[in-house]
Amino acid sequence: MSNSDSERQFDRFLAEWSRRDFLRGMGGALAFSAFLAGGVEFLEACGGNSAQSSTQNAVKGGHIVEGVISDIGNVNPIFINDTASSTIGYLAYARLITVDAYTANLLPEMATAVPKVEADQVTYKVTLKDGIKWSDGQPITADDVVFTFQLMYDPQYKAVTSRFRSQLEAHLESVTAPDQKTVIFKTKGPYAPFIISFLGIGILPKHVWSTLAPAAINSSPMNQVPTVVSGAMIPVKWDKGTQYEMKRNDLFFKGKTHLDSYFFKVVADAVQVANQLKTGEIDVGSPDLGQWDSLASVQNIDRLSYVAPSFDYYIHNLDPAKTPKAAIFGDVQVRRALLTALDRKAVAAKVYFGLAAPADSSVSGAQWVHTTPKTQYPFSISKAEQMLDAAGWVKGSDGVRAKNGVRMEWELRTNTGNKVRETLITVLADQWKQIGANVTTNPVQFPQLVTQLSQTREFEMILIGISEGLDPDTTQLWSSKSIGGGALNGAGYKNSKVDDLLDQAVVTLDREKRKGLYQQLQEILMEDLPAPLVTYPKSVWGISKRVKNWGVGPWNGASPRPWFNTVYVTDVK
Amino acid sequence: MLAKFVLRRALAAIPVVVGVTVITFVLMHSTAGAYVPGLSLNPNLTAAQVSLLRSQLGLDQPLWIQYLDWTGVAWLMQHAGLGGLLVGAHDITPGMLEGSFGQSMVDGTAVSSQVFDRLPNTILLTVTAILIGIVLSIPLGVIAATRRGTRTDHVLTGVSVAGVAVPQFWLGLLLILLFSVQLHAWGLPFLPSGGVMTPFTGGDMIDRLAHLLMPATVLSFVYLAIWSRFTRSSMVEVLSQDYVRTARAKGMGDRRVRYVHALRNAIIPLVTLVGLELPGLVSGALVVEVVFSWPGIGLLAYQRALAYDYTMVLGIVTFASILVVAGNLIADLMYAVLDPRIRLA
Repeated sequence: MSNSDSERQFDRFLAEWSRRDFLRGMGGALAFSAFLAGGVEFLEACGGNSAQSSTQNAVKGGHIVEGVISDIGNVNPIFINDTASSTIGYLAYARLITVDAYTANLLPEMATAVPKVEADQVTYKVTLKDGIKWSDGQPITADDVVFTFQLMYDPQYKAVTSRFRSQLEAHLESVTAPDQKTVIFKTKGPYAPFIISFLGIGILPKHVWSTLAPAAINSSPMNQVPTVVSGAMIPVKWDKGTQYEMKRNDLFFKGKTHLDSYFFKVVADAVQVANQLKTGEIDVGSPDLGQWDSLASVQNIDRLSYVAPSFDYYIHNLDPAKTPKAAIFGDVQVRRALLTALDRKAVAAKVYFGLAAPADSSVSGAQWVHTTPKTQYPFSISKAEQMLDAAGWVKGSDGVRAKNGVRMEWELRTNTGNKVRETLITVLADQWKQIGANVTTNPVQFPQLVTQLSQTREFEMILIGISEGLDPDTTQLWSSKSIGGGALNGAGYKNSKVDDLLDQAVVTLDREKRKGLYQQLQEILMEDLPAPLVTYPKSVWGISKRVKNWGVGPWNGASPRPWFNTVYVTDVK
Repeated sequence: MLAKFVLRRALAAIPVVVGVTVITFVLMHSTAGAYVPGLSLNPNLTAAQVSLLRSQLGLDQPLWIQYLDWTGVAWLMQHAGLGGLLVGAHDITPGMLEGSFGQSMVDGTAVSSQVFDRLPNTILLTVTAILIGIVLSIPLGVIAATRRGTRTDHVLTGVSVAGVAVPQFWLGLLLILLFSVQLHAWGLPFLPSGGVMTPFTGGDMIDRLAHLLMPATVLSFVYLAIWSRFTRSSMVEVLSQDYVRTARAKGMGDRRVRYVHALRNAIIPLVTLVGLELPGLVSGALVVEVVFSWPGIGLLAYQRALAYDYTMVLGIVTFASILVVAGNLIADLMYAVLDPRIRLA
C-alpha cells in the first residue's frame, strides 16, 4: 500500500471515530476546573475576534443568539459551577477585576486599578470606581463587597454552600470597608494567587440578598434569574432547557451595550451548534471539531480558533506499590524514549483535525509563565529505539522488549465519550508498538478514571486532559503532597526540588521572580517527564458575519467578557 | 369489590417503584460514585477541600444511608426516635418527602421544577407524533390491504420496513441536513433545525408548528410503519369474513363495505396498540429530542446523565417510573371496568 493510500485510510478511520461532540467529551467538570479556585475562570469554550475590533461604525440595537450545549444551573457568582452559568452570571454581575482575552493581564472592572500587595505582603487595598450603580439605581459600595465575601467565608453564613468556602477559610484573614469606596483584604500569609483567585468573583447587592436567611440564599430563585445586577445585561427570563433571555442594563458603569438583548439558546450537542450556525438560527457558538471544515464554505460565518489554556497528557504510574509496571516507567530513559516515539505533530493534525498544537512544555502556551524548555524530544523512531537499546530493553522474538524479566507492556486508559481521546490512545498504542512496546487500550467512564487517578491510583497509564487556571500554580499536579486523596499527582512523582519550587512560587508575589521559578520547574519536568504533555487543544468558534467585536480568546471564552458592551450587530436585527 | 381491586393493585405497584429506584440508585452510584462535577480533577483544589465538599453533599455516608436519606425514610426514622440506627449518618434531609424528587447535584435545582417545565414540550411532541401516526397509518393500511399483492402494496411494505429499520437519529440528521441546512444554503425558505421556537421573534403558532414538524415526523415514522402494517393485516383478515361477503352480496357499495363495516372491526386491535404507547408519552422521545434539541424530558435526562448529575437522573427516572406504573394501573382498571372477567386476575 502506498503512503497516500494508508494516509487516506487513516483519515477515514478518524472520520469514523472522531466526529462527535469534542467539547462535551472534554468533560464539563474538567474544563471548568479553574473556576472554583480561580474566580476569574478559564473555561473550555473560548474564542477571540480581535481582527474585527472596531467601534467606529458600531450601531445600536438588535440582538444576538448564542448557542450552547448545556443549560444554566446556578448563575450566582458564589455558587457558579458550570460553564453556561458562568457566562450568564458574569454578564449579570460585574467584579472587582477582570482579565484580558489574550494576554491574561488583569484589568480593573469595578476597582479603579488592579490592587498591589502592600509592603506587609498580606494587605490589598481596593478602591471602587465613582458613580457605579446597581441596575435598580442604588450605588455599589464597599459594603456590597464585604457582604459578598462574608457569604462565602464568614462562620455566621456557614449555611451558604459556597464552593469557595474552604479556599477562603484557608487563605483569607479579613475583609473590611473603612469607607464606602474602599475595601481592605488581608490574607493569612503571603499568597501569590490571591488577586486572581478571589478578586474576580462577582459582587452581590447587599440590599437584596441580606434580607434572606442564610439557608434561603441557597435556594433563592434569584440564583437563576437575579433581579438586581451590575453587569452589562439584566436577566429577563429563563425557559428551562430552552433559552435564557437578557436585556441591556442602561446603568452599566462601563457604558451600555449596543445590543438590546441577548439570548442564550440550549442546543443538544456541538454538531447541532454547527448546523444552527449554518442556518443562522444562532449567531455564535462552538461547533463540533468534525464540522470545522464544513463551516469554511458557509458564507455567513467567520471561523475562529486558538490554543486554549489546556492540555492533554499521559500519566505513567511510577509507584511500585500500585503497579508492577512502575518497573518500566521508573526508568527515565524509557519515559524519554516513549515521548520521542510519538509524532505529536501528526497527532495534532490528524486526531484533532488540525485543531491542536503539539505540546512543548508542562504548561500551555496560553500561560504567562510558559517557556519552551531546552530539553525537547523531537519525533524519531530510530532515536527512541536507540534509547531503549541503550537502557537495556531488548526486543524478544515477538517484537516486544523486556528487561530483567519485565516485558514492556501495559494498559493505557482514557475516558469514554471523548472520541478524540479514544482515538488518541489507539494512535499512541500503535506508535509505541513500533518501538517494541505492547500497549492495550481501555476507555473507562470519566468518574472511574478520576477515582483511579486521584484516589485509588490503581492504573498503569492514563491519558486525560487538564484545563488550566489563570494562576500558574500547579502544586496539585506535580507536588509530592498531591498524591492520592483526590489530588492529581497520579504518577506519584516525587522530586524535592520540584516541591520547593512550587512552595516558593506560591508565596512569591513579585511577578517576574515567580515566572522565573515556574520556568525552572518546566525545565525539570521536561527532563523527568513524569506525565508528558501531548497536545494543546484549540477552542473553536463560529461567528455570524453580522456580529462584530465578539472578542473571545484563550482567557475570555464563556466568561469573563469585558468587551461585551462593544459587541454590535451590523443589521440591527 | 372494585375498591378492593384498586387497593390491591395500588399496593402491588409500590414494590415496583421501590425496586426501580433501588436499581437506578445503585446503577447511578456505581457509574458516578463519589464523583462530583466541578470538584474532581480540579488542579486548584486540595484533597482536604474536596473531601469537605463531598461531605457537605453527603457523599461520604454509607450507600444505604444515602438511599434512605434520598427517599426520606431516614428523616422519618430520625423523627420517630430511630436515628440511632443510622450509623454514620449526618445532615439528614426530608428527601423525597419534600415532593420535589430530589435536587440536582450540579446546580441544586429541584428535579420537579425541571421536569414539569419540560413535560408540556415532551407531551406536545409525542401526542403530535401519535396523531400523525394514526391519521396516516389507517388509510395506508386499508389501501395496502385492498390492493394486496399490487405494486402499491409492495411500496407500502417497503416503507414500513424502512420505518422500523431506519434509526431515528439518522433520519433526523438527514432531514436537518436537507430541510434546514441545504434549503438555507440554496436561499430557500427552510425549517428550523432545533428547539421549540425562535428565540427572539418566535413563539407564535406558525413558528412553533415549523419547529414541531420535523421532530414529530421522525417520531411518527415508527408508529406509522408498525400501525399501517397492523391495520393492513387486520383488514385483510376482516375482508375475508362472511359478513363482508354478505354485505357485498346484498349489493352494498365497495367503499361502504370497506370503510364502514370492515374498517370499524379491523381497527379495534389497533386501539390497544396505540394505548400501549401512552406511557411513552412522557419518556419515549429521547433520541428525537436530542437530535432536534427539543427541550423535553428525554433531552433533560440525556444532558444530566452526560454531566454525571446523578441525583437529577435518579429523580427523572423515579418520576417516569411512577407515571408508567400509574398508567398501567389505570389501564388495568379500565379493563376491569369494561370486562368483569378480568377483575379477579
